Amino acid sequence: MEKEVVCIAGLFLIVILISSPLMTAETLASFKDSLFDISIAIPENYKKIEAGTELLASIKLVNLGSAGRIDVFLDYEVMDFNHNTILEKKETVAVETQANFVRTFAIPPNSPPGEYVLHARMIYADGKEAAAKHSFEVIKKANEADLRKYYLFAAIVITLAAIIFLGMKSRYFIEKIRLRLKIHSIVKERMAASNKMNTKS
Amino acid sequence: MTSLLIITSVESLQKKINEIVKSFGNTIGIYVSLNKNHKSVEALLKKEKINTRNIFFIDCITSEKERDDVIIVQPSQLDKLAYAIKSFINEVKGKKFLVIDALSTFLIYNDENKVAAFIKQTIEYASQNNVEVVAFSPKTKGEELLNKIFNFFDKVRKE
Repeated sequence: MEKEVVCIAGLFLIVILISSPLMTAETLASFKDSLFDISIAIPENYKKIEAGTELLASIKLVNLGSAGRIDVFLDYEVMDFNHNTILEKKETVAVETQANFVRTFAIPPNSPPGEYVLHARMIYADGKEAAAKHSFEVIKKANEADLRKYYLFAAIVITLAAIIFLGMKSRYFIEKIRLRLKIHSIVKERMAASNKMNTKS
Repeated sequence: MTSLLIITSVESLQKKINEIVKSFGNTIGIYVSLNKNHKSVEALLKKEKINTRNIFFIDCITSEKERDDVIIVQPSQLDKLAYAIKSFINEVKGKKFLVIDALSTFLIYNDENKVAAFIKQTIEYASQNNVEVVAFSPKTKGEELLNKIFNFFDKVRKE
């Protein structure tokens, strides 16, 4: 009894789909003739990213077959080099002749550094598929402790440079004072001696 | 007060220096020696019966300190030399003169433009403080430098 109900419902659904104004003979033909190509491009500054940040990719879909608006299903997967999936995303996109769009993928913060691949699989018409992939690298995130070490090192270098600079400046300054004092005493002594001689004579 | 540059042959350089220093009589002077050390200069001046008690020496030839009343400055230390000259000008009261005995010697140790800047600065300071400046240079040396510094002096004498 249940089987009969399912069969009737199935037939009914096929009838509805064929008689539907959306599913015309033309649409069916375009499905049959369609041939898609997919490509992925990752901009240069996103080829090396830190875990926890977003990967940006440009997706291009081209309908090489017949004209007409067609909905295609897209499956995205981000995999590490051991083929472990770390991220999945799905969507449906309507394409007439060509579609270009940008998608972002939030890379999990706990992703270990290494090579990763973004796979995109497109399913259209009666199960036809097209796929593309592009690799990128997850690099080690500069953690706070590292940053603190870096700032501390920079502060030490700057302080040392300042001490050396001030030391050199003060040495020059001290040398000048010494020279001034020496000249003062030379002139004073010579003048005193000269005055003494003048008084005697 | 005037500044004078005397360009003369190497042979007659000392003779000219003696004449000029002698002409200042008992006026107090600052002598920057770049040609001979202060001992030799003093001996030569004394020989000409010039009273060296009134002359303060800045020796740019001697490397080791021999006397307490002589300032020793390396010819490469133009800043220090300028400061020493300024200090003497400030310390010595009354009328005074400044003699620099062989400007071209500076060129052995310094860049031409630095020497020109030093001379300009020294002449300006001396003139502001009523100090008469006489600088000497041997004829054959430092033509380029001489061309650069001609204008800083009130008078130039080629002998």
